Amino acid sequence: MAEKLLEVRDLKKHFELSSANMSERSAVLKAVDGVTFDVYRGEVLGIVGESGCGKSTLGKTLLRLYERTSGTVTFQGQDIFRLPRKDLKSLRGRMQMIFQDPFSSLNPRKKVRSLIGQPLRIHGGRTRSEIHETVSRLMGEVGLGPEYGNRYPHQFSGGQRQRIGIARALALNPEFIVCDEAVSALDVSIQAQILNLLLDIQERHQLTYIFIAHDLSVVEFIATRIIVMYLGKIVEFTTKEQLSEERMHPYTQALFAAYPDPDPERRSERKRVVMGDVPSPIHPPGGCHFHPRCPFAMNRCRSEYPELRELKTGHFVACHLYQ
Amino acid sequence: MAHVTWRRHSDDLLEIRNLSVNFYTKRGVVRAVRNLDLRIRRGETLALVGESGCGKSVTALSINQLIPTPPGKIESGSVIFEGTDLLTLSEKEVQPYRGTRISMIFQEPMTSLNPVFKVGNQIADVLITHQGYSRKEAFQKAIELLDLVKIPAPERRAHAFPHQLSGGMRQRVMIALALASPEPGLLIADEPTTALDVTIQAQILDLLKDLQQRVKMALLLITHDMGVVAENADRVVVMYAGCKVEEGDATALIKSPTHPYTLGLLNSLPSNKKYQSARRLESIRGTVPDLISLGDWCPFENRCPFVQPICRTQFPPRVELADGHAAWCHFAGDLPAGDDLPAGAAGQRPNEGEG
Repeated sequence: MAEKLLEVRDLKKHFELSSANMSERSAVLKAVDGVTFDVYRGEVLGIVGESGCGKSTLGKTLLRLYERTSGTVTFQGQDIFRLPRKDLKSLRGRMQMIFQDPFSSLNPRKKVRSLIGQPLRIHGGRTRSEIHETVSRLMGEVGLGPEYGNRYPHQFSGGQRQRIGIARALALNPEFIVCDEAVSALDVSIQAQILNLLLDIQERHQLTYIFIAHDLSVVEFIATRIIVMYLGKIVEFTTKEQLSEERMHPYTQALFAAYPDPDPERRSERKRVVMGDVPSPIHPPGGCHFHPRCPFAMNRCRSEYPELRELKTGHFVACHLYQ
Repeated sequence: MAHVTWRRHSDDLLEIRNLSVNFYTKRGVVRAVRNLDLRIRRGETLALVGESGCGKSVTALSINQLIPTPPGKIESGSVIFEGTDLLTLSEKEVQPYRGTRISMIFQEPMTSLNPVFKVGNQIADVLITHQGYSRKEAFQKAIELLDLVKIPAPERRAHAFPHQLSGGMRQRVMIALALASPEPGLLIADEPTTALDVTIQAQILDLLKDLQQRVKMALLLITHDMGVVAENADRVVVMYAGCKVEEGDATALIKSPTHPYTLGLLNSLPSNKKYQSARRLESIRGTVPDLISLGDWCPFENRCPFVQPICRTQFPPRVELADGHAAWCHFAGDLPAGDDLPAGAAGQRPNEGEG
């Protein structure tokens, strides 16, 4: 097995929500509620789930963009939450993030060259000409011609902006990148270009990705292992191959069954549609969070949260059906 | 204005002929829809598919004369609904069609619902205006409609404000609104499930299918999602840069796409079976052309892997491939089959950039 790059142990991230009414106790949103997994060097770990499942919060907490509530994240042997602030900067150089909409993170008054060079200037230790050279190399690498360097972000299409976002993430030679819905806002034909680019870059720089997306087909394509989350918890976690062969958790089954399949030959197969809405993560149902929507719910599911257990080698499931 | 009555095919509910819509902007004239023909049959689901800016929403808005004018302008064409050309009607004359015979639902229902009224009252208003119900009867009927769209505890939810409902519930309310008509003819659903989670999307699409059979309405489903098309549509029209590029029976078109754009679109899907072991996708190179500087030649020429000189000078003709399956391509039917794209078409390398 490859080297462990990241170890996540019982990580929790809760948000206190202030209530409008002062006399009421403020509510707690358990966005990430005790997740444990390892990330190996060179893999693409996909995280899927519907809105409110905590996948984005998890991604941000892994980079300490949020402080944890409890638990640990160990990056190459260092607990990132114990690092003093001054060491955090060098850590950030090694761990980067690519967002869904890079436009909101690009200063509209700066030209593209300056935007891509920004992380290099912030982290210092480079001469102007070194920065210039690195920026040119990065632009080439993400497929932006040199003529684009003097343009402003608004002059770019969505796909090109994502290329700028990728160049900025690459600037400091990171080892680990969290891609948070990195291709979700793009049209299908552009999405394919960016997915190819992300894979090219991963190979060239031997990067490790956590790839967060709600689109199952994208995650199934790019990821080597897949985590399925529901209301702050991991419900199933295994390799892509294993998951396409055997989906064990009823939520995973429902999620994949609901995904619209472009193959018209499978059209006649009647879908099993799970009923009900995704419950609010502020007041998740007791016991197993999925039990009100689960076609197999038993008494036990209403009172007791099932532990995440390794049912087969490398296949983790949190469901009472198998325990 | 005189109502022109057209002879029509008995199955046709709606026919769009030669529709062109331009938007007059500071930068120039945006040719949003060009010479579009479209037919929707009674009770069928027609999917209008394409990427952002291809003109699918503008087409839909033109049907009910909902194009903001200015900057938009319907330059030519007719929209014939049950024998009447809707585009010749005045604002007052088109009003009885909107929301009754021809309803629309959008991606974000919150923008279509009034935030300060209870959803039951909003549905009741439609019933009062168009069908002359009393307030009390209308509210009762609204509860029935909420029940019809499978909202749990409809008596209670009728008293809810839109913000108290989830996205999926709001979309159900919008569908109930569309059904608040004695005889719904056409429902235009513009990306109705794009903002929803996939399990909720499945519920809403299921509901639409179910209702369509019950009330015999036609559905114009506008989407970018080929999966949604494959599972729901009877026929498909693929649009690109304001033009129709391919149309046909949904199953046939997805199984044997003919226009290079349709082919590229299907090949770009990561769920395509051919990628079970591959590590790269076959993307379409470049980007959509600027709709301002479009010439009268093939709109896909700058991205097409099969491009020939004629594609840069002449607009392609309609080439009929099978019954009802046609593509607008100079070489339709003569191109290599889906799996054998030339090397230049497959896996665009990053250093080529976009457009």
